[in-house]
Amino acid sequence: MTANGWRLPAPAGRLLDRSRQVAFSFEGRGYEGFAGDTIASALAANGQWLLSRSFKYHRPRGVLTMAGQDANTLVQLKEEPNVLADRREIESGLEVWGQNYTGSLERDRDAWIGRFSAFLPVGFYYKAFYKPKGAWRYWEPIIRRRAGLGRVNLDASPGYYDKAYGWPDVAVIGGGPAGMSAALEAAGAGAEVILIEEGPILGGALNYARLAADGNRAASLRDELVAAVEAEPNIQVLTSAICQAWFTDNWLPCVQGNRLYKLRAREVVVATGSLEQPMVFRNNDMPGVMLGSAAQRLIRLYGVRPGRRAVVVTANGDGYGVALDLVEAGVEVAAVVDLRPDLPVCERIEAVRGHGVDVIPGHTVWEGVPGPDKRHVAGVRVARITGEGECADGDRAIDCDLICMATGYAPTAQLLYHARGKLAYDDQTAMFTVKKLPPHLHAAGSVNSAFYLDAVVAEGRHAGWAAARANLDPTSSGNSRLLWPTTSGVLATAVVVLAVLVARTPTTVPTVIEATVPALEQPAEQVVAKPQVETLARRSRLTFRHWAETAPLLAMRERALRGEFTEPSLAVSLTTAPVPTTARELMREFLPEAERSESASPAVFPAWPWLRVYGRETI
Amino acid sequence: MKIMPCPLNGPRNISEFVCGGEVVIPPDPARCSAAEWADYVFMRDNVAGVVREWWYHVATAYWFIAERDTVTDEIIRTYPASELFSKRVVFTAPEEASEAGASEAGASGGKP
Amino acid sequence: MPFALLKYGLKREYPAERHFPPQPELKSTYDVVIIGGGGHGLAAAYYLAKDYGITDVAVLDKGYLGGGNTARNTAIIRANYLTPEGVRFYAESIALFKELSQELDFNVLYSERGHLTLAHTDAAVRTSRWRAEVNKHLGVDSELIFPDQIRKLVPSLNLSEDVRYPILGALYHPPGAIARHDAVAWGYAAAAARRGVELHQKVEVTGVLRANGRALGVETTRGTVHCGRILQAVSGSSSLVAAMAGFRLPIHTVPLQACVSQPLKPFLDPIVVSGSLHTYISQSARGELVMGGETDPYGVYADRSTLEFKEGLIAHMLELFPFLAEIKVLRQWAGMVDMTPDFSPVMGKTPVENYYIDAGWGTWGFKATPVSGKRMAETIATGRVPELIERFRLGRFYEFKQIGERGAASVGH
Repeated sequence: MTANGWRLPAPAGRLLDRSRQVAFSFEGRGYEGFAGDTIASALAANGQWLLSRSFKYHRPRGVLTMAGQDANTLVQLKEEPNVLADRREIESGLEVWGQNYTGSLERDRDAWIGRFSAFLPVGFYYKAFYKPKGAWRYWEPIIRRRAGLGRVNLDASPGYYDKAYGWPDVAVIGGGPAGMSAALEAAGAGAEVILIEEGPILGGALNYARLAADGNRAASLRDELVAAVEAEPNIQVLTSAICQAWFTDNWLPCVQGNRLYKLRAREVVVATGSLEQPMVFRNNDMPGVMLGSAAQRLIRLYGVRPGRRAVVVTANGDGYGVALDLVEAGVEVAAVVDLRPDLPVCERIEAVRGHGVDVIPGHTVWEGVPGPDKRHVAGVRVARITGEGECADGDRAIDCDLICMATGYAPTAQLLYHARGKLAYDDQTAMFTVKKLPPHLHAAGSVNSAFYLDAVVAEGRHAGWAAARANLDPTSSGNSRLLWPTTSGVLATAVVVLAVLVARTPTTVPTVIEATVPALEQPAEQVVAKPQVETLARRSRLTFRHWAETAPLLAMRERALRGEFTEPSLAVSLTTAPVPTTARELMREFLPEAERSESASPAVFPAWPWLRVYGRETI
Repeated sequence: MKIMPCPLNGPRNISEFVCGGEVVIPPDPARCSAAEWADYVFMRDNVAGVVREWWYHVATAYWFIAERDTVTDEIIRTYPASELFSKRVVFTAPEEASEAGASEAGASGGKP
Repeated sequence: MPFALLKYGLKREYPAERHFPPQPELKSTYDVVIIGGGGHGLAAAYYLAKDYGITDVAVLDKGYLGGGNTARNTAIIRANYLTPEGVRFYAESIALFKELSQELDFNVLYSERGHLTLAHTDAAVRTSRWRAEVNKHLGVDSELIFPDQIRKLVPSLNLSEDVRYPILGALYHPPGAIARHDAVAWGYAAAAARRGVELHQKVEVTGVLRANGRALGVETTRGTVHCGRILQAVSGSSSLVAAMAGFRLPIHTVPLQACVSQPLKPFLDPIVVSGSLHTYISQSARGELVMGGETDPYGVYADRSTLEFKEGLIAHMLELFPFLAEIKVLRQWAGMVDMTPDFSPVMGKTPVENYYIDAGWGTWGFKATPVSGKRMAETIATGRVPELIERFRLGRFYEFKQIGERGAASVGH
């Protein structure tokens, strides 16, 4: 199967069992994949990238996210319509068909509609088909026949389904670095934990993302965390399980195969991570255009080479990680197009340049150029950005059969929204960030805007610790969210000292200084996490020091980034503070100070601008 | 599912309970006007905020009172009805009461 | 294809199309203020302008137009009610709905699908027959049909006798329809705006100005507005706004939930309702199965969903359509509905002079959008309550003359 050049040799393809070949069919043609392949990955390994047709214009669609997050990969099974081809594993004899076409998937007779797209703008049907009187009676049946995607098998007989119940102390949703850390911390504190992971194995982004130039850090951390989770008797792991919703009082329906678990958790830690977002340009829906993370998933999880010649469009450090992964997978990377005019100093960028890849800053992708068969992308036109929201005409054409979009993330915050958490767009981090969470719910990791791996792990541990603590102490409000201090040591120390001075609790001053001063002697990046991680590791001693390090910074960050201070953040500081009687007053006194400091910030807090790049360029 | 802290049975799934509506003190049917009675039977404050309601645990046939916030869907406090009602109320229903009520309804013109 | 689309498509640059004129500054005085920019309020504004030439009208909404229950209902339109009052009223609504696309110059995608109310018990069969007779008497097309006829209309329905609740018959109502609910609100809004009505979004009414039992205006988050007459059309907040005007309503506000499946190629033509199983289903113009059930068991002013609703609804749905077991639910949502003790609306005058009410729309509000708008406009413009809605007066409760509309959705029979 590697003969056609799409399948990569091990160790790529972490989820594959290469000892077992599985035969299935797509559109009536026979294909083979390995056990562990999804329908989409097995087809891609055979060079079949076209999976379905779009709803309105019947445009060709293929892999976009490889995470079950898009409608491009919906396919038809015999008994089941609208199946996510990038999540469903192949089975022997599985019959798979494309959806929503007339004739064949390759040559959809209804694709002509796309030629008339200019005349069919969004909502055109509100202004059409009803004149003259009675016309609608003619048009309606024609239009109705075009509705829908998959076909229901009216003779399908329901399979076997059952229900199970669970009453964990702490339910952790998401088995990535934050989730595993949270589960370990909570279990270590004596809580019974259930860890719910959507994928077939634990690890989350550690399984596919490249978090540093050398690409080894993720794998070692993953192995370490997974081993620890497996050795922990207080953690029950559910893989290939989806927590579908959050309902009142932490009532969680989790679907694993044909079983619905109904979990009543005392505390919930949401560590669902974030999802890369597509970029807007012409023909961005063609097969061959996919998220950077989708290309990485194809390589690392399924051992599939996502293309032969690629262009990566990015606005952050992760795009360069994608480029490095592509290079290592034998894909020729024609260019990395970076939206930013000025690139930061970053080892991943240097590594990409080291491979002789053309890095084009200050440009964007103007359009994807379809190939002669109109079913796959064959090139890209790149344009210079001339101002906000403006660019020159596509001034440069590059041939490629793969466009990877790595331009930003959105938190996978559905469960937080269900629970009436509040998120708001944050200009500094250019993404939606958590502003408020209800009691007994915690957020950790990139869903909570932490991207730096140390911060992710530390945040997970904090959330796990806070959840376990809230569970053990019924009087606690149980609401905790650590907004990781994304500051340099100077600021951290300044704030902590300020807080302590205000608190006038001299006995604790030395402790606090001791915790933060070593930070000053380290480079900025490491200061962020290291002392806190060490402190968190000694959970038995999570006392004032922990609080003093995090709470004031948290308030500062809230204040400075958003220009306001929210009550829930105060609740956070109170739950983690062993001095609750004075903490509220402390914070009140402290905040006006912070406000004043903000206006004079460059002088007082020279490290402030560093906040802007946190979590992206620095990785 | 929401959990209802029952004063008798402790925390239970709310599906075991039936909401009996706002705690309203009925007017004396023997003395009140038809309009007052209609007001009592039909009209509701339907508050967005903290309400005091009757709740009933079906399995144990137990009526109690819950205070909850209808905006946040939070149950603030539950307690036995004896906290509010310490005396037995006996309604007497003499025959002339219904006639008196009817004539008053006509006089009040149905204004709330 | 209309000429406008052709012109649009040939333009070099796509103009940003506006359905509505830009929001004007809120004036301090209007002839009529309508509180609530849902379907009902917008329809009333439209008919005030069109039928009575009253265009000095402001529609105020605390959120956005059609963002409340107009956006959340399951878009079913029918007139097969049980009481003569209900049947007459909804029959007029259907008549208006049928002409609505032409009337508003906006396709509301009105789709006559036929409506089946399944009867699983002898009692339900009796009620169906009763409803059919009332309907026919009032000129509404309804009849009681039996499994062999049901099979022809819905071949996919499980008509087996070997189930917990076998289907014994159904009330068949051929005019039963669905429509694009948002389009109804947008169509009314755009048509009203064309006639000079002002639409004000994100303006919340915080108080009602009164003196000597008369309404004089409203306090809003954008200042005080004086006006001659006020219409309250705020489903889900009726008791709260009425309290500002100083009177109480026979209303209990509870969430009503619904869900839709992923889009599927059409296989289900009619709307199928089962009162005994508390469930109903139709397939939308997009191919999604739109499913609903009973109201929540207790009241909250929060449009949150529950697992129990979804589980119960789907379990019952699978009794009717077992092959749906492999179909995925796409979304679940809730709206707040104002339930009245007799499952009928509260319309017309209130104890406060010049203050009119259009409330108590429980689970039956969308289908009444045109008729309630038209008849409330008539009430406001002429000061006389039309006979068609007179029975829905608030005062009926003080006269102990409830209506008892057990043909309403989500109501056990």
